[in-house]
Amino acid sequence: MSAGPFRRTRRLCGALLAATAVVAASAPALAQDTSDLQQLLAEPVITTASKSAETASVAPAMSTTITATDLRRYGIHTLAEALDFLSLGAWTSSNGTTTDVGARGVILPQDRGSHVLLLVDGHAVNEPIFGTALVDRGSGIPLEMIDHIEVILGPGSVLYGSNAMLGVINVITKRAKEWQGGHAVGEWEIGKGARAAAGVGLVLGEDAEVTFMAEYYRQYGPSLNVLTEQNGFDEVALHPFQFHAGGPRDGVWGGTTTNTPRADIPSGVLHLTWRNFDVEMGGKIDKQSLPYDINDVSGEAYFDDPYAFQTNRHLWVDAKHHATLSEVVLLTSRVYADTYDYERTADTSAGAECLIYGSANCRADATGVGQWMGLEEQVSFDWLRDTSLVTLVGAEGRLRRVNTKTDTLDYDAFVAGATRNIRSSYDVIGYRDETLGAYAQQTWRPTPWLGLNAGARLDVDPRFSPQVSPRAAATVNPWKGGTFKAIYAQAFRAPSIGESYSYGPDQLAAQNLRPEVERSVEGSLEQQIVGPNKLVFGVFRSWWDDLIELHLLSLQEIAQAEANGSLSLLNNSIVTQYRNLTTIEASGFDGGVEGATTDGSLRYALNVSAATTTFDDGRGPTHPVPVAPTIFGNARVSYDLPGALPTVALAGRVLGQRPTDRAFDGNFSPPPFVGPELGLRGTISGDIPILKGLSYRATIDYTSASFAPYVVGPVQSAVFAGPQTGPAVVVGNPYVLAPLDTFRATVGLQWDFGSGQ
Amino acid sequence: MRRAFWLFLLFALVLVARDAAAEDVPVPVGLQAELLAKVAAYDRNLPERAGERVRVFLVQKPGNDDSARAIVQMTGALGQIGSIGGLPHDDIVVAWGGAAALAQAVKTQRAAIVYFTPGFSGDADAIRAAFAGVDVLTVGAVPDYVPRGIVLGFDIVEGKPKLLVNLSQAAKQNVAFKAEVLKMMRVYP
Repeated sequence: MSAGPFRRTRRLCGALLAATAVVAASAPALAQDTSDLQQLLAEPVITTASKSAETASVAPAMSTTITATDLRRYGIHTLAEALDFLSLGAWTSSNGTTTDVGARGVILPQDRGSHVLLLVDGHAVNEPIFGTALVDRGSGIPLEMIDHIEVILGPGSVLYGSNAMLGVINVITKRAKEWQGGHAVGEWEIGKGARAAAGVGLVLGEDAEVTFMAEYYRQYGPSLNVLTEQNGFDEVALHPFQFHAGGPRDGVWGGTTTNTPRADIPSGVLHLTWRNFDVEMGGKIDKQSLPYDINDVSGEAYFDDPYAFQTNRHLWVDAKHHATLSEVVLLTSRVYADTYDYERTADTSAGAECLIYGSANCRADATGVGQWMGLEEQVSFDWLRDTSLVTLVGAEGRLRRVNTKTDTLDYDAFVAGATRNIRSSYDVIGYRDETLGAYAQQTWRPTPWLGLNAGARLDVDPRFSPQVSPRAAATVNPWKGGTFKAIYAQAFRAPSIGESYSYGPDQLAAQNLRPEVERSVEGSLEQQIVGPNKLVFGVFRSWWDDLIELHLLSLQEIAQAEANGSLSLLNNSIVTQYRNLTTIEASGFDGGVEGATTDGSLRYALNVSAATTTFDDGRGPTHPVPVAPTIFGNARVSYDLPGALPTVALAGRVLGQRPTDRAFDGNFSPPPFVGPELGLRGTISGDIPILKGLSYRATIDYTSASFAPYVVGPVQSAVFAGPQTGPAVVVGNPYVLAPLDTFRATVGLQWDFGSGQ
Repeated sequence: MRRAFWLFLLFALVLVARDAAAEDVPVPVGLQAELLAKVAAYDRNLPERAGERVRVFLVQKPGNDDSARAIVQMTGALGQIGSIGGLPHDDIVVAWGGAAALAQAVKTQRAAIVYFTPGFSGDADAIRAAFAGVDVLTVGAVPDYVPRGIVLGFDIVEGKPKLLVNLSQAAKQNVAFKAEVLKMMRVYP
């Protein structure tokens, strides 16, 4: 990496320290009397890092708590926006169809959040087939129901098992007593979408309460302008490729979308509490059009296909029970179940997909169902009854089954309302297994200034050898308001069932995939300054091994596969297979400052992260991690105008220059990068006095980037780009990047009624 | 492995069957102690009520494991805190013998603060009635106690600690928090 980004980082750090100094210098005058109390009240209490309530400063991880107030104040519409504008060290990247989560210099392009564990009140909502966690509109979590979000950076497998590599995001929903009465929300993304939501919070006597919210989000725009590219001649059909349904056979892909993007996403969350029982249910149907099939490596699907869509449906239920067995022993029991299914379609006229099976046009229809149910028992021993020496042991058993298949249908019959399979199904998976996890954690606070935390989790999965994920952490409070942390942790991600067993005409089934493993060391300092103002700075280094990648087979490997019968002898120019290929090393820092004035009317925060990374997939020189910026930061400020005047807020995020997902394996010259990206959001919110409980919120979003760092379209590699035979090229961009929607305006109303408060 | 899973489930059900309703203590007791020590300083009447030393009653519900554990935690946490409202303090564990008896003990022994551990949900109304007119700051480990008549409590709202105050009960117990602190509290009128 060049020294340039770090020079910029030093300047940013300087600005951060200067801001802190200004606040520290000015705050005493404002907060002489109550600053100590404000300091205590500003300190988040988190439960995710060690599965028990503790102040964030002594938790064995660096964390961010994003409050409901900030979600509203800064006009946040999705979990992804919450991470981008409000979190320390984490960010997201979208290609317009899917959203990836990154942290501390690492992101795995198109992983759809599978390297982060997403929890809703402790229930993992990463789905059972691919392990993905949606953080965009498809998350299915109504934002008005969120009390706060705990973002825990770094490996979290020690207590949570698979997927908790980049971090753990725990969405904590509101309790009924904080959210009593009815709630109705209407929101309009001008010219692009709309959302309606309704919910209720009921306190039923002393022992019971209910919260519920359902929402419906519909997207109907905007049209996307996608650059065109030429992908030449279909050697089976003997004419140029046809990339538009009913369109010309000119080999041209791209243009302006007219049918997409579209989305319909109903969802809801229900939470019941009765005595020591907690029962929670969530569900969603996430149906989205596919302007282009970003996952289609062979790149033959129609562009702007009116019939191409993906649907993800997820229903989950989680029941917990807490019991005090003695003065020393606490027991938490949990049973849960998830059912998830998907359908993804892609239509094409490619001869190798359709003509050889007797159809001019055909439709791939991939479906799958994944279900699991599990039981977790967790026992906590507070040996001295004062929380200074606590042992936590737990075990989790899970039964899982997955069924998938892909059918190839005659497209013209489908459009006419009939179903006609033109070939036998492939990617047929029928899989069942049982997995076990057992964990133990010991915390010890021998003195008020020293805290120790050590633990490990063993995960047993029939697909690979037992996996151990340890963590050791020490926190030291050497002076008032200051905390040093040193942490070593390890995490893993089990190969998803999709990665382990999926196969197709262009994809070989994986062989003996191993879990991905991350090891991480970090050190940090958190310092309370004055009142609610605090500063945090940490350094980290992480090593990622055995990362699973959809490997593009070489011609030699293809020939070998054909020879041993793994592949048919037809059209095998592009063949893929999931393999444990990649290692990553990352090192860098996270720093932030946040605070408020005494009366809370002015709030601010600034977060900066920088990392150098090395990505090695064994196919040539090492390089930085694709799609990940070297520098990431966000900043925000808000002010409550006096009286009945509104709250005004401004938030921004900056991503440094980023290599695209094909920058290093696409053979493009020069490698495609996207420039630095600035995102800005202005929000104004307040009450409408004509009706008690009625409030409004309006946001304006702008991003300076026109393209996301994802190469889309059929040309994913320069090796395969351009015409092979046939007519001369008419149009040609060397590659096409996913376009971004650069401007968005949203207005909304919310009515909270019947609370009696 | 499947058999082990179902055995595991059976074991869990047996444990769950041994149920006793617990009261939610969202704020760690150690943090409650720190908050109490700070916020008590903003009670205008504390110095007069306490005299030279602040006498703190920690009320334990006999037979309640959560209460017993909170007593140990609060005792330990207060032991680390040098002063409450700038005054030295004596922390005394008191076994619950009824609201009237406790109110009488507070009067005779000049307790300035009474801390109720978990287990008093069913006694909240009696406590409110018995302590009306008694010069003392009552504090609850459980946030639900405050709207029912305990003067001061603690909760977690949006992931951060929140002070709760029952203002009418505070007036009845001669507790007068300063305005700058009331602004930070959730007030139950």
